[in-house]
Amino acid sequence: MLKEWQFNVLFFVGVGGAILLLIGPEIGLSIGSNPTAVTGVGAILTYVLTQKKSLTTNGSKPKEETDNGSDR
Amino acid sequence: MDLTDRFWFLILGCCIGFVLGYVVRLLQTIEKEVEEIKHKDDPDYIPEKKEEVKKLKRRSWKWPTWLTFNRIAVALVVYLTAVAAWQAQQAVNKFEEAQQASVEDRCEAGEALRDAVRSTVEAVYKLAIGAAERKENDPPLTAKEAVQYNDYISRVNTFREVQYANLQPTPECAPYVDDFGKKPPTPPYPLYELSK
Repeated sequence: MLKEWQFNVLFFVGVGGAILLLIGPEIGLSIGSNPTAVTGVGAILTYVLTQKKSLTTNGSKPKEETDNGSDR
Repeated sequence: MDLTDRFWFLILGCCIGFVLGYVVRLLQTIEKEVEEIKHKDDPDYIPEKKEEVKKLKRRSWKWPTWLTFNRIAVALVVYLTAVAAWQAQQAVNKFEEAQQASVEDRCEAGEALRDAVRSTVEAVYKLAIGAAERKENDPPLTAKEAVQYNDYISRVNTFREVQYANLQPTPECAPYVDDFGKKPPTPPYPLYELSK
């Protein structure tokens, strides 16, 4: 389980990588892009974002877990 | 792959991730509600305590739980995606290098061929000019002969200039060859001037 700030740091690093994959060739970076990498990065980032509550802990806040039931 | 294609592939990935995440959260919610229903008549049941028991069970190295398999599956998908992307990029790099090497070889072969043709053109030019070359002791030409002579010399000079102009590399090969804009080695043979 990650703390929320740790999750945010990792998530924004991932977002930075996705942006680099997206616009890298346009700004002269020889990073190259292929469909698998771009799709995979987008899928992983979005999946991780949807699972944020189950991956992070804000200290002892177990009520947030039961609040998920009302998100449907 | 241009920017628009990359953007739409990213959106596709986000949609896939969103659907997967939604399905997983839905299953987790259903699991919790089923547990609550199972234990609704148990006043001592506390869901948070079940999480603590789960953690304790994990620490005692018993059979892995569904959550462990879930995490392993996610890690495997991430790893396979990264490996597939890396290998695809390596293949693309190799293909581009081979293509570049092929272009350079083709350009160098073209330069050798053009040099051979230029040698032939020079040989023909020298033969043609040699046939009309005038020595110092030769008698002067009449006006009519001078016109015919100059017409012949002009046609031979033009032949050489046109051949050299046509024997040029393509713009694609220009960075790899040295004969771009190459001119004949000698100036055009002078025309006959009638003495007054």
